[in-house]
Amino acid sequence: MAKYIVGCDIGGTFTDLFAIDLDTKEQRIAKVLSTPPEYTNGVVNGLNKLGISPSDVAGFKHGATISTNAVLQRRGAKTGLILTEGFKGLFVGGRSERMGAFELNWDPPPFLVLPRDTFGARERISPEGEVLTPLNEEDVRYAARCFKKRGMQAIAVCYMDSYMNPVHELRTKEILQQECPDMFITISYEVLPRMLEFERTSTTVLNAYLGPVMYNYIDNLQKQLREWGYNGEIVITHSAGGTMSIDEALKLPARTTHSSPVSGVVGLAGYIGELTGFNNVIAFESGGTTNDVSVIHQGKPTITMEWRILWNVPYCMPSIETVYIGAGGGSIAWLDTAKEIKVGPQSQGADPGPACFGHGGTEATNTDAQLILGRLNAKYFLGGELPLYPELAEKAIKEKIADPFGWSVEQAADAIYRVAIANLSTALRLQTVTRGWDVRDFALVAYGGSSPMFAVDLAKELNIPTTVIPPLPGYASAVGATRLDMRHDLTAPLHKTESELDFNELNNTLDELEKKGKAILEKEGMAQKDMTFQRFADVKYFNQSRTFHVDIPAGRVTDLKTITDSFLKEMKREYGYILPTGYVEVELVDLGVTAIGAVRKPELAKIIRKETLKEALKEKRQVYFHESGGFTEAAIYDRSKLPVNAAFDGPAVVEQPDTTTVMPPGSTGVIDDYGNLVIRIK
Amino acid sequence: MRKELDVITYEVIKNSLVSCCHEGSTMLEKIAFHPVIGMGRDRTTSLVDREGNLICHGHTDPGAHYPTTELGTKEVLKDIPVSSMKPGDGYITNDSLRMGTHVNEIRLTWPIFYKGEVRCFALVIVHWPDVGGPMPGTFNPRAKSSYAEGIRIPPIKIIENNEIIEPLKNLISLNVRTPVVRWCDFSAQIHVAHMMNDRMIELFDKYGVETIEAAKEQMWDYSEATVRSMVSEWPDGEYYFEDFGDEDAASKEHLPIAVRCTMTVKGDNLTFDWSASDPQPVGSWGASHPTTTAGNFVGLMYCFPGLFPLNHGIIRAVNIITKPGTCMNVLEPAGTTGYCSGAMDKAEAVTCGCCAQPLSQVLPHRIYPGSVALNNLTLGGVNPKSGRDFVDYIFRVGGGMARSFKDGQDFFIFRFAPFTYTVPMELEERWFPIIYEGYEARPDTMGHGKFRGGCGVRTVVRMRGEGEVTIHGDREKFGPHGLGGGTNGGAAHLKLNVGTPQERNLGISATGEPLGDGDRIFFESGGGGAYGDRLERDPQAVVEDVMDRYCTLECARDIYGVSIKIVDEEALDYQIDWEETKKLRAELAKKPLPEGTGPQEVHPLGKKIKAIREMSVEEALSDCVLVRPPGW
Repeated sequence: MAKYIVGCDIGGTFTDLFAIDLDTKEQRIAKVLSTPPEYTNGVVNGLNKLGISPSDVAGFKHGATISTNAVLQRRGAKTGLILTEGFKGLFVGGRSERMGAFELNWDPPPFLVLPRDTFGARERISPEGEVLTPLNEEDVRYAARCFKKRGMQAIAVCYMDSYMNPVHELRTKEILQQECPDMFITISYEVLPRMLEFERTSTTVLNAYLGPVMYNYIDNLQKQLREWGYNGEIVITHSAGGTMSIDEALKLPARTTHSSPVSGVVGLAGYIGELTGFNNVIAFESGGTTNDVSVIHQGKPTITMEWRILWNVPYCMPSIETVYIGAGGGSIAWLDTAKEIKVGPQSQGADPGPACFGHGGTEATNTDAQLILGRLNAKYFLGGELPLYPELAEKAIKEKIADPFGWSVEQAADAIYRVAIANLSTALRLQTVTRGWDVRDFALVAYGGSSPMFAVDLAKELNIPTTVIPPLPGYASAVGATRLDMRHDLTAPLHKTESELDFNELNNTLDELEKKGKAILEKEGMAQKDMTFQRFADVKYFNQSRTFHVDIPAGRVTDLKTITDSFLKEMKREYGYILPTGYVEVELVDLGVTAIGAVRKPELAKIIRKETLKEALKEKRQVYFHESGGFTEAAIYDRSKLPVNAAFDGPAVVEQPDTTTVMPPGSTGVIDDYGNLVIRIK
Repeated sequence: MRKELDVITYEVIKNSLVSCCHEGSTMLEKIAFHPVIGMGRDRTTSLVDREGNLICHGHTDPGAHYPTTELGTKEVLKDIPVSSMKPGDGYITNDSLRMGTHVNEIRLTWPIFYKGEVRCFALVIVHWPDVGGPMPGTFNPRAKSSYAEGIRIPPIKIIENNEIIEPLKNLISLNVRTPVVRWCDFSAQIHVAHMMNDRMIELFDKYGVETIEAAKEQMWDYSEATVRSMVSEWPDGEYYFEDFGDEDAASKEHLPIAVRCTMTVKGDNLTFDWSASDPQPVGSWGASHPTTTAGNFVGLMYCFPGLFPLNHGIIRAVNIITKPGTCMNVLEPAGTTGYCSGAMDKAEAVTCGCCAQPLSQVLPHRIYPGSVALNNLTLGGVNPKSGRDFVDYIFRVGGGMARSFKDGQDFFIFRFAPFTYTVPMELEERWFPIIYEGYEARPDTMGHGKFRGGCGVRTVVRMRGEGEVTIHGDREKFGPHGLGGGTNGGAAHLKLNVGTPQERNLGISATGEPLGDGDRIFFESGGGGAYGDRLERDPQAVVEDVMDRYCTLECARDIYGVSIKIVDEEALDYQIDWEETKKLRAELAKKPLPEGTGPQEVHPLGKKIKAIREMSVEEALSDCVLVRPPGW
């Protein structure tokens, strides 16, 4: 009898798998090396390591993070682009923003499509959606001919103002399907029927660029899983914190980018918040090279319509907003030309990794500093699987930081750590306090390999009273994936102000979107009773550029009061002001429906521990805390033995194979019924 | 005796101060109402000490603003002594002749009190899209005085005990267009000042006033020492460079305006003397003294990218001299709205030209030709759809400057405001009675050289109703300078109905030109200056440019001497005829490109500035310093 739900997430270094029995709540985990460039071997290795038989698997939820890597490493399909004639500059032009203020030698990374492979088709739709210039089909055929001769694998099409009327894009697609049947074709209307020409084009290009990659990958995965013996359902996680069927993933491969951190936020951080009684959560994930921060308010993660994979590569389908900060365990500490200490954004990544890994890294990283400060246990990194070499960390820090200043290595390590914390707290503040959230009402849920090392200090810096470290912080995305519902976000442009609004049109559009969502869910095998449809609108003042995401209650909309009230409330919170009533009209920019197919979610079991605090105590060790003025004796606990509901005070370090939690003086920790480590600051 | 801080405490405090400004700027762009602030990022937040000295500013602020915050605040303090300030008071001004930049910049000076005393100021600057005057949007290229621009507000208390002083607000409201939304922007300014106030109190609580003060001094000492030590490596001497504005548009003669600077390097002392520049123009083109320092510092900081952000230590390490009554130090009652495309752009370019001379000997990868300038285009009229007045403010990217080791960037945002986003065309089409008909690189408009400048960009807009167009621009007659024998960048233009019998060049200072329904405006930005001899350009690079439509076949042949045969355009099969290329190049070597300061001519001063050696891209980029906000 199949009983396990398996979550799988592929990272740059490790592939994580998590299996949970829906009935008994029994859990299994496996961490294996990732196997680029195919990656699917790693998945099968992991499945074998889990020690479950294929017939025991009831569902397989997969994070196809391969797409993000394909963009970063430029290994996507050779892609051609068709734009409205005369607008060939709009894709390579981007939004033009630069990265450094005064560094004129820096140039943005090259675009995914070269100007020479960008073609124009004579056509024009007006901003109101009328055809101004009919499509010149010969232009499309010419582009198709060039694409064939140039060996393109994918084609993206995006016309000006096409979000108001897709007729030309649809016809273009027909022609291309005839002319280039083997190429992966994406038109903007099917990916992102929204205003903003560059962002829409970028998302469309991304989808085309990833199409063939995703197709090969999924094909491979299905084969390998079948060989392993599994013929059941495979669902793929996406950027809005849900899953989709393989069919949908092949239509919208761009949706799989960014899915890994999002699975952790929605499936894990949100759930842990619920379990520990926090409706408001700051999710803070930190791995080797990056941190991702997301805000969950009243149980709902913040949604964004713009997320950047790279500088100038925006991806604008609805996503859970996670803000990337270039500072992780592998972030490098360095001195700039003015001999000031910087940490990151350059990172050592997995290979060669921090100096203390002994893989040939010579740069001083965050992880090296943590080791020198006694916070990391050289013999218990990854549960002892990866021995750390303190002498190498010492050497790197001495040469790169300590010697130039004439400091001791400890002083230098403390400096690296404090600079890193200062950076992180700024980034966190920008996502919370600066945007009108009062962090005293939030819990910081920290997971990933390295964030529990920083989390409590960071919470202290920002006055966040509670920090929670979930039971398996090193498997967040895999664990999170198992709890994700099927989810599809469908939007349609409306662009009507209050006075222009036709309620019939509004209701019909919403009904239409709901019907579409329902059809997809039905195709994915969801039962009617498990479906829910959340209607929403993107709202703004007419002459404002930014929109606000506002939920619309179910049923027919007959007046705008609820919608405008929610909009004004959001605006007031974030902006601190709203315009006088009647001054400018409110505009409904887009309508949307989030179609959810609820699945049975695995729950964490309540745990029972026989051990006492004393038995959980591994040793006492000298650990460096800035607030204690240097090294001080700290209790080192084994997380797996910490008894439930027994409080213990910092300074302390809690060790477990997938991470290390550091508790500074003045903090108190306790393991709750579900195995969460809950730390409060006095 | 000042307290010496350990480097870590210093670094953490320094980060916190910079973060405070970065947070302020980020908040401002999110919550200000007008898109010119949110997308154009035309706003600045700085911390200034109680003497008016600049502590730091936000990372993504435009370089036109923050160098003026020090001199500007000192002017405010002349009128309003610190001793008269009370907690909860805030001061407004936009007097650009004293503060710098132009009247659109509304400056909120917010004293931060700690334990009963003013410890520093938060200075929050926002570009108000309109501050009155005859022209919607306030930009007025034909203004002969500041009276023909917008309302001028001297430093004056606008907030008392955390309440806006109503009569004053009413006075300002009566003098600007769309006042309701302007006060929304101002409310955002206040909001940000409060946030910075709170953040500074936290820092004073945590570290104590003395420590914060010490960190500030240490920061300045450090920056000053670094500038001086780097300058001391520059060969001593006097270095001269010049540039020109197209015309004094409001005068009878429409003569060009010369900007001249002599930079003197002596040991670790660096002086810029702008005194020999032309007299103050009649029209709104010139810069007040603080504005000239802005252009000067922006140009100088390209040599020290690692020292970003600017602070008082850098400011005091450099001596900047301007002569009152010249275009670089305009006096009452000069207009200022044209400062950005006019005098400041030239100050920045001339500074680059001066610094490139010694730098070509010591840091050859840090010499820069001139780059595309900001041209401010406004379309105004009555929106037939709503029956209301509208003003659309449009700026466009253009050609970036070549580097001494690689090409310039196409679609490059003007250098002094690198964090500006271009406004989406589809959004403008929703708001205003216009429809875009084109957005493409203009082939062959780059500065020609071994490393070419970026191409200019053509934007085509069709009117969907009647209206008028005004442009505050420059660089139609004088291109951004080339270096080392590379040509100046191509010209910028504003044209009407190109390709029809009604075609007309409106000129780069067109003011209130009437537009009919269906008229097409061709807004063409200029190209960037090049580096090196065009005949040394790698023929393969020329072919790539032809494929990407940055360069035509004719230009490849006539300028670069590269003969290209298109075997199959559809298959992208382009071949170089090497024999023919060799012949062409030998012929062209006998016919050097014309010398001059015009578009695509070889700059007579610039051609003498050559990198002492050519670095590889790898070597040059190994010294690429991207100073980003903490946690970015």
